[in-house]
Amino acid sequence: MRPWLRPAALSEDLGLSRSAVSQLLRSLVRKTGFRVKGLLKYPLLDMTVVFGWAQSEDDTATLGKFTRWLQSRPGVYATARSALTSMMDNRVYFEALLHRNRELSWFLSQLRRFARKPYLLEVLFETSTGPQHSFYLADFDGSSWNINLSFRFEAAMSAARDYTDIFPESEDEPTSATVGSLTPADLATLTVLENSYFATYSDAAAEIRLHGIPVPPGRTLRRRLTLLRKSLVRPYVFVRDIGLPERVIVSVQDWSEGRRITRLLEGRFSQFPYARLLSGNQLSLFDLSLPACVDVAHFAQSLVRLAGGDAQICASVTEDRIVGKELLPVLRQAVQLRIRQTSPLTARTAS
Amino acid sequence: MVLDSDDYHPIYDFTTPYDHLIPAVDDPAAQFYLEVIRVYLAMCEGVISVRKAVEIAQRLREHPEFAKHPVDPSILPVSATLKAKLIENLETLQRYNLYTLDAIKSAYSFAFMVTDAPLRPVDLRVLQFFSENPEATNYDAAEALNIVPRTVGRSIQSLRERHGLRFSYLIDTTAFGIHSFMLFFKLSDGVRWSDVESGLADFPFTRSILRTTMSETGYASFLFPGNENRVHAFESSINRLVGRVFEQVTLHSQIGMARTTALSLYDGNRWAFPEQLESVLDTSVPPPRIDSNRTLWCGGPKRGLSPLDFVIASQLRIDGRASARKIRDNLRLMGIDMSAPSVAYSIRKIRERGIMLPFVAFGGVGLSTNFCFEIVCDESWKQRILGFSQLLPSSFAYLSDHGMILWIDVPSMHQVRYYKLFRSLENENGVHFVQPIMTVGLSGSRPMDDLSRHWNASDRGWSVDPSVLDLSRYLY
Repeated sequence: MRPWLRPAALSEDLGLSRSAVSQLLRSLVRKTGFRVKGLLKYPLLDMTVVFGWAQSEDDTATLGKFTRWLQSRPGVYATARSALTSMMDNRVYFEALLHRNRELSWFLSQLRRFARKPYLLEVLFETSTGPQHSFYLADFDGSSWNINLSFRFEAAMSAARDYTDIFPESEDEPTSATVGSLTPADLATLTVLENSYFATYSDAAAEIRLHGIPVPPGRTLRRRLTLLRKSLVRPYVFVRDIGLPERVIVSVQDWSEGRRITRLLEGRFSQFPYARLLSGNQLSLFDLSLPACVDVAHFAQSLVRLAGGDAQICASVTEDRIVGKELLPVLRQAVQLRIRQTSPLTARTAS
Repeated sequence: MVLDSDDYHPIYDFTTPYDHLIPAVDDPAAQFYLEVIRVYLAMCEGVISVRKAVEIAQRLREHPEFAKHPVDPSILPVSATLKAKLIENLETLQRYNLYTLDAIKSAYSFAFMVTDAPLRPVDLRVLQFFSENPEATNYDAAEALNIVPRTVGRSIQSLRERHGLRFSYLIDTTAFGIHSFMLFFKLSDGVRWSDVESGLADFPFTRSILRTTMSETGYASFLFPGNENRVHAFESSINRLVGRVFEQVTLHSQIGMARTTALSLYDGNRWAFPEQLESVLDTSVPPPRIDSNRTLWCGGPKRGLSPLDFVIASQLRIDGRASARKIRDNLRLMGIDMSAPSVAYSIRKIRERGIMLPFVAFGGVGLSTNFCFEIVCDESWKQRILGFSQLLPSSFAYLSDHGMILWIDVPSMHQVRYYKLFRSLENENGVHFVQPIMTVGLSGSRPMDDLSRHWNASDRGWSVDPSVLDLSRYLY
């Protein structure tokens, strides 16, 4: 719930000894791969996230070709094939992190290429500053999940449908106002924080050194690390194997006024057990991890009923997922580019 | 307009203790579902007799909404679980001030989703016995399972209450000279689902409609009597709709049916995946032998069967264990006067002709994912798939001249595996295509005797005028 808490604060909060908390955390890491990672505002590194899907009713061969192409691109960090969709078609979902000036337009032109002859896939995509994450444990009793997505879910959502205009906007991302302009060393530090929110001074120093940039003095770097962590990075919990085997992506193509349907679902987003959200102007993807007992078909039908004619909603049970491919190399490359732009001398040293 | 709930004006003149939960609505379609709920609750509470409920149900059949969602509250089992769910959903509607047709329909249909309930070991054994011997008596079951008949009776009661257990028959309608067709279609661009649904509902020979809100594909089934001319008139009218209303269609004419369950895969808690099913794709492995007790092939018109026998067969479809006296009472409510011995004679006659396939229906055992696959294939694949379908947890096959339509109920945890397996049949030589549909919200079918109101009965059997079989008149 509060991923920013360190073990010391946690032990105080839970009334447990420091060693008990450390032991619990160690066991969590062992059993669930528990890690506190950091969400960056990628535009800080001149990067943009592109997300979307390609669809075909029966041409799985072309979709396979498209998937192989996606997986050969270094910036594509997540792909997922639909095993079963509520529209009974075949889909490939993707997310890519791309440099705005160097890669974005080429990548988008390639996506459009797959929509033309000879491929003729339906390809839909949007850009975003980055995904949101949510982890909600209220429906977990320690061993199993009890999620009610039946009539009460549909009724509550229907009742809220007319009030989306008063829903709060999604929480403001931290701003860079307090940080000042970012130095190449800051950018290198940010890439480390993306991988681990609690990255240490020595992790940051090693990363900076890797780029061939002089490492700032100890106290300065420590202060900077704390400031960047607090101001620009949002922590989120990464876990796996917690009894949520069904990975379902809900795609919402929303053409209602003020994205009413998307906002309605965004309002519910933080109450799904483990969820990621990629939000665009007309297209949003809700990437949900659900327990096996959830009836995806009924859930999808409730969503379609809610949307009426205002949005097209498709829920896909996915497989062959490659999610969270290591982003570090992509981010490192972006840092290199920024270094070259800001200081040709340093860049030469680095290369 | 939504009125205060005090202003609710019931269509039928009786009150229930839950009328304060019934919202006042103007939409006649919404009113239809509310009245169905009220009749059911009144029946549970003993406010109205079953006879009265049957009478009202007959009148509800006249409602235009009935053809879209044929629901008959009088044949639903009196169940505390179902009653509680309906009341809870009505309370939820009231809490959220939801009085739209969609919300009321959802409140109704969600209550009928049989939720999983724990199955006692004895109930599982009883269920397993009757799924293999659907026509057996309680005494047969008691003897086979080595328990007392009273325990069997109690088990059946509990299974009815918590798992919607129902004894029923599939009927070869061709024995009565009645054709059964299923039309699979994909709507043309710009055609609205609601228009097609209403058109199909108005066509007097439509038995069931599956409207898939999530895609452009759907199906409808039809039942009508007559010779080849009638069939031709109907087929031509469908051809006229292709390119205008429907982008694609396949019209399946029924040649047989099969219904199977494999409770041996269930341990009362979890379902196992029948690994042998994977061999359906390996043509070097012969298919399992087709069980003739689970399959019924249509044999065409049989001598000595009258329209009245058809009405009685329809009654057995609703309740396979109904006694001759109970059927006599039901017929009286329909205005047909017949003695119990005559009914018993008719039942015997139908049985001797071998035109009924007994089965038990049940739910709430963890088979929450339901798919329908339209499989257009050659004869050998039809036989092969039919053989392997017997390994499925629960399946129903509609065998046609073009292949088969297979409905399967599977546990959610294996849904992807089953889906991919049947979908991949499409890659086999001899299988022309596989069209899957998620059958959420399957809305039942119009009772056969209700459809027969639009047919003419004579000594020579049922008939209709070919001109009335023009579906295109309803869909343009």
